[in-house]
Amino acid sequence: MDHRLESGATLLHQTLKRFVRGVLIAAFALAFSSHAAEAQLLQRSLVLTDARIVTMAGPTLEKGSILVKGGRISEIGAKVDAPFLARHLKLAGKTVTPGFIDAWSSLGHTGSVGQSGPTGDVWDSFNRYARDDFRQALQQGVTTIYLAPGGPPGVGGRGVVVQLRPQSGGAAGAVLVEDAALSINIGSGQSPIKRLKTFKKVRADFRKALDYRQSLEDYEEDLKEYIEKLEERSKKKDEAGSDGDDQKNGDKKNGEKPAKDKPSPKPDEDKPDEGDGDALNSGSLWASFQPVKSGKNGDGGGKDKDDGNGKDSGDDKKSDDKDDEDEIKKPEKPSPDRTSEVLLRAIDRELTVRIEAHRTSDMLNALDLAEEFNLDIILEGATEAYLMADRLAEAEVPVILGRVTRSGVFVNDEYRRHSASNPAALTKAGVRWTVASGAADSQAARFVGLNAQVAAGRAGVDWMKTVTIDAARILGISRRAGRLARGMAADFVVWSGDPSDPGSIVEQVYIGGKLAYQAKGQ
Amino acid sequence: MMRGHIEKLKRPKIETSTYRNDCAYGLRLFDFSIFRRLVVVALLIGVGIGEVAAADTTVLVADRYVAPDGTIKSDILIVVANGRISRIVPEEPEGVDAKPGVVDHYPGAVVCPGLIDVRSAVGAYGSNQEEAFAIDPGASAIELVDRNHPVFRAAAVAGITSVLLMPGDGNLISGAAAVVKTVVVDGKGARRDSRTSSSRTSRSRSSGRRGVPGVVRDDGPLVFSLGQSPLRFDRAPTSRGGAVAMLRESLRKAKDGVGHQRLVDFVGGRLDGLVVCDEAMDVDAAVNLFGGMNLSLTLVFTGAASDVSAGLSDVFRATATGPYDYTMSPNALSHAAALAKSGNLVALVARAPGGAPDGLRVTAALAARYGLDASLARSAMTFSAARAVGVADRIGSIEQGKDADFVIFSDDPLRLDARVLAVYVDGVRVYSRELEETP
Repeated sequence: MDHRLESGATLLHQTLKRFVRGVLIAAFALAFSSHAAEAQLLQRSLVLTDARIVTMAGPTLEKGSILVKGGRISEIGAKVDAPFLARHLKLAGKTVTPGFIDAWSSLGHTGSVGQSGPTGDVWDSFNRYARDDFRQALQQGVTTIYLAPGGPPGVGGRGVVVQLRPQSGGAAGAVLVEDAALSINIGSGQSPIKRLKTFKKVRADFRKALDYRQSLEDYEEDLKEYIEKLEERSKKKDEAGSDGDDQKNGDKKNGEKPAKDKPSPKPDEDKPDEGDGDALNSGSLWASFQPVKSGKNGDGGGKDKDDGNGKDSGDDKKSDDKDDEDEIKKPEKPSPDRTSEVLLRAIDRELTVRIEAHRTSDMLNALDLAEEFNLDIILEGATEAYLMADRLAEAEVPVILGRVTRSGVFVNDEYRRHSASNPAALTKAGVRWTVASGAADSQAARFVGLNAQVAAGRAGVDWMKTVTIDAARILGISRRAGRLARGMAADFVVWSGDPSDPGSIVEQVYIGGKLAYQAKGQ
Repeated sequence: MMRGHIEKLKRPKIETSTYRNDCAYGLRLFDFSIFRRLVVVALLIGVGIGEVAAADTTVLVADRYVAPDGTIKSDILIVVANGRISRIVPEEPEGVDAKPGVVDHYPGAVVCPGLIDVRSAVGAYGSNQEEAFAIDPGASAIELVDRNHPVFRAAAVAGITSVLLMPGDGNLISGAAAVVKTVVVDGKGARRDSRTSSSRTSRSRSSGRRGVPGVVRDDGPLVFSLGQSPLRFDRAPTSRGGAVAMLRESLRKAKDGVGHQRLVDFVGGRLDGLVVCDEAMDVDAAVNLFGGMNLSLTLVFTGAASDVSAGLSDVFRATATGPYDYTMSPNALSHAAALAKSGNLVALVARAPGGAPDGLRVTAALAARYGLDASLARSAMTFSAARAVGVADRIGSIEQGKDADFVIFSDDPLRLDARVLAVYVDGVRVYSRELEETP
């Protein structure tokens, strides 16, 4: 009896203690609930337990836990050490997967920026308030997209990698990779003749960029030369200046002689006569006039003349010096060409080039373009890739497939030879590929998982791999997304069951460790 | 028949065409249950009594199958004879009276009834509707079929073994639809599996054209259309009101026995019908027109089903909806679920070949994602579809006596990563992934 009472008291004591602690924590939380503090101090660690975790980084954990700290996965395994104050999420029976990546998307895209060419940045046409669209995408497990610029055939704009993370003020979407790629479309609904022209234009654009680089280099060289000349001149001038002081008297004769000697344009011939006429009265006035005129008419004549007249007075000398500089012709800086500047970044392999091509002829052109300009390319679409899979493997070009369910009837040239065996052929040849929504429709981004199921089913590979790790690798974000592993961003999706099961729904989505989506009634 | 028999006798008794699902079920080949099944097969071969046309008999063995209610059940052994399902042995080997010629074994796979697309234009050429008259019950879709059209093959490979071919839906009454198989076994343009080069006599079971292979029915259902499509400026009707009035008049006359025989049969309840509606108001019009007539009528409706789904089951035997696409709104994708919730029998359509051949499965998968029960979704492309167009007595389910049309999927057909491993039509394997895959 006593013992029980005692234990009851202890329990009460403990409960009280807990309560007090809770109040203290709440007070602490209130005190620090400014924005910065919220991000820094109060982002509680999150612990997921008892979930089936499809890591994509190794074997699936049938009953695993994840510890999320500061937006990243700090621990993952069968059991993790939950820190004090951590928020617990018990997920028995649920499946946790990495967020899906739509590697070729137009989600939230308000219109094509391709029109503006390589200077266009697709982020400028991203509607950050397309909340419903984002919610629907999250509802299907999509957390990251590559936003494609789209646009008419030719060299288009630059795409970005966007995370569908909620932002303040009801907006969503944060840029994960700026300038992720330059988009080129050489195969989309064109007549055969237009196709030729388009590719010719694309190649010409790259050539022009190289020419632009050449002209910049030439300019740099010329400028260097010019500066050297100037320095030389000013050195000479210094010497000449000291000479001039000594020879002031002989100036007139020196000045006249060269002018007469050399064949100069008519006005020059006239001048000396006039000068002779009233050399004493108006000589200096005329001289101050003269260089301008002669400068315009002919460099050679003017130069000599200036030398002659320039030494008449201090005032004149100043203007003469200026003229000297003009005569060592200052190289003209090529006007800036922003388009070429972007293309040059592609040529320097600082910017990946994504080429949309569907037919074999277009894909071969894309490979040629890559070889000619040393481009780092990714093929988009690649409808007929199964016909040349070995060639693509040899060139080590990754492929991003679009929608893989097509009828093959009532379609344009690009899809006429669409084949269900495309993914299988790519896998067999060893081409790196992933499958995306295809940027045809903003709404389709949601179902990148379903599209991947179809494609991967045909290729006999794991569909989830294609839209997580494979897509991340091709987008160059595999160090951040696509896997659930230590140090990776905490982007994950909580499913009610196996994601392959059509009856499973997405219950929660976390991006960067923060809740981005919660199913109704959860 | 005889040739086939001899040919089959030459083959090893247990077919080694073992299909593997690379992902998950490959190892199950060595499961105990497989051995048990092999024992069953051996029993069938050895002890089998009362031999039923041994040469034409095929035995299909699989781990799972789609039951008529759409659920996936485990373990099945199907004996096929004469192009029909002669026996289903879920567990027990006793009483099997067929001696198999060929045994096809699909470990881990799911045997599904051949899929049915109940709104398609597969193989139809040219304009398939009369331009001059809005009421044309005499037209027949069966006359339009081009059996050599490659889309038939594309549909079959995707698992669609039967389609309802419509005579267009641009007239108030467009004529009789037809249900045809996508592969004609032993008819013109038939394609056969390399192993079944034997000839097969066609059976005379089709309710319409007797003895024509590949035709399930050619006498209907009679197709009606409401909405925008029958309205034209160069002939009546030119308005919705006019359309309803014309149709009502035709139905009234038919009740008096005046008009085309098909229409008379329809109002007399001897022929079923199918009414295509685009919008909720068209459905209302259809309910007003046909309600209370006690007809066998199916509604084909792609509009906002949630607006009208209640009460439809009183008038229509089934409602067909689809196709669904990745670009549709969540509201539209929930229509099938809304219809099912209100007690309607739901069939899904792919509108092949305008849509992709796998459009039917994509539609079902999307419907399931947006609230349609998975078993109903499976049934919506098989048994419910067959019921919706009046052919459930022959196709759409794995039941004794039905046509032996199967699709062997590597997994649940609603999982879009499940592959079609083989397709059987009338008991003949017409597609085999293993034999035909051309990467």
